[in-house]
Amino acid sequence: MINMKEIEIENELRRVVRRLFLEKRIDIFIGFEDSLNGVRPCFIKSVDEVDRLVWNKFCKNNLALYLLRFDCRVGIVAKGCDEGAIIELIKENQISRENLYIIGIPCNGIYSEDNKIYSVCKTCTRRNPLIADIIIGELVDEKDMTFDDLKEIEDMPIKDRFRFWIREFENCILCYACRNICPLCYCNECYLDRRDLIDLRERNLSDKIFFHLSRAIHLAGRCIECGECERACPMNIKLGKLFRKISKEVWELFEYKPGIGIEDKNPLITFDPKRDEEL
Amino acid sequence: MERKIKKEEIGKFLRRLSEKYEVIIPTEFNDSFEFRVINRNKNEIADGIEKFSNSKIPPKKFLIPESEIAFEFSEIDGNAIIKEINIDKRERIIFGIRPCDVNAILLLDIVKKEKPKDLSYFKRRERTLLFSLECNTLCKNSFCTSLGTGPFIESGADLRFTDIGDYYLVKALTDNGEKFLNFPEFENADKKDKILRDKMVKNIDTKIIGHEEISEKLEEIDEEYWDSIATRCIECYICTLLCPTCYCFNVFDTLSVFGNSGHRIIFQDSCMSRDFSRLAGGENPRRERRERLRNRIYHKLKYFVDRYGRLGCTGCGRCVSLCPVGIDIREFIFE
Repeated sequence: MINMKEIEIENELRRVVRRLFLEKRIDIFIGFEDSLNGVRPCFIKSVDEVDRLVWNKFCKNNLALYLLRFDCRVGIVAKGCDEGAIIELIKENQISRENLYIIGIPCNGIYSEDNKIYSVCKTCTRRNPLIADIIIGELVDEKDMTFDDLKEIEDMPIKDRFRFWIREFENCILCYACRNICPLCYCNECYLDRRDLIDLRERNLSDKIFFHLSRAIHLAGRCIECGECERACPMNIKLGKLFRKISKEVWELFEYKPGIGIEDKNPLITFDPKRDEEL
Repeated sequence: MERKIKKEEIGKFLRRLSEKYEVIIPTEFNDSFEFRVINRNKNEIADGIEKFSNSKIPPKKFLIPESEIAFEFSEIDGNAIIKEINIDKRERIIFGIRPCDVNAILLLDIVKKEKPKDLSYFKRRERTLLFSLECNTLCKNSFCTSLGTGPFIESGADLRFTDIGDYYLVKALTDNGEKFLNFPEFENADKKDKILRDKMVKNIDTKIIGHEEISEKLEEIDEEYWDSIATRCIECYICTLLCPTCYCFNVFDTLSVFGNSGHRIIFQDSCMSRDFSRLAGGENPRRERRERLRNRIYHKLKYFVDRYGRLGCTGCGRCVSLCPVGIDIREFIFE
């Protein structure tokens, strides 16, 4: 069954994008289209293509990833997590706000093809647009922040927890999908491509652990918990839980959450003698 | 010869096989199935196999490992000495391999036979028996029915298992397979059983598309279309690492500290990686994402046809289902 509201949002979205093209305010629009295998990202270049755009609860990808691929005026449709990534990219001087037109859509969670809500969406506290140029649809209630979903793993004795993560990382095939789909893993030269660190020859477990843990550390205070890494992983490694844990640590130490305000400073790249005294 | 085996007897049959062979079966873990060597100490062998559609990691990994040492070399008194590595001698049985993956292995046979012949591949291949399990239902996103690589199989495997309700109908497709039908778990099949399978075969629509037709159509695709699809690509290696017919590899020599001995490693590589086609000096003939994507599709749907007269894709649908951004090889075949 198609939700009536979704259809209305979709129509409104097409209308707004059509206007943007006609008023020549954007050169390209990043959105979602239908395909044989569900919804996927698409790039609209002219007003005739606008009818390809769709909007529904299966629009899982974080489109902020593609912003770095265009050097022109871009329009984008953004859920809360897409917008969070956009904010982080602006903060890190990767894109400029002026060249960007954001259509924000409040989000009640994204569903997999078998109609199950993704686990990161269950704990999402970033559902409504904050910096969008225009908002389509009604704002939704934000949930309270909770890290209860991590309890199950945190309560394991350390040995079991270690075994749990080893078992997860063992399945890794080093396809690099989690790194490449991450909107905030944009480094042109990534040190995980260094073959003296991650040896594709031997594909050792230790390299796989190193790969995931160093990504986790690098995204501390930057990860906006969109869950793209977990969705992209072909081997269903529970990366969402790993990155949630990192976010939790950052929150407990600094009361900081990335992807909220453009002016917010990432505590891990700033030093405040007062705040950081005990560190 | 055609016989049948009760479903409950499969575990017993596999355990008996594992006394002499290394038996590999689809094993359930993390909500999906992967091919694993049988654990004989476990009681529940092949339990839940009814739920098995196909594994994410194709069974080619037992013929082409992720990485292997090709040989060791050393220098003694000015002479080069090469020591071959003995690879696993035990004979293997892959049970439950799907028709698409059997066809993929047949393709690999053709490629690996080219000069210089891949000796370690054939050492493994000659010791491997394929017990294929035909599909009662089509996997999501698979298109084997259009390429003629499934869901049924007439040759290529040693034994063919077909689910006909309470029993598996089993047919030997090679002489090697024939001898297994004498195992005590098997019963004689009658006409009714064969009719059941025939009915299944008839019920599934197969509409095979000509190879030439596909590869000709490919050339009509313009630059812009490749570009529009490649913009979406995130350059991960999922589509190649998990493809049952991909075989790209890289070779690397490792030297000891003294520089007088070492070993050569052959390991899986992916043409979707930027480094794959990079030459010494930094030149790269496939620098852009678009070029790498086109190379992958062309290799599967055109170069294979030009060279061997058959498609390099078996329609298993893994790359379609697992691609995080919805790149779909079917669009190049059907549209």
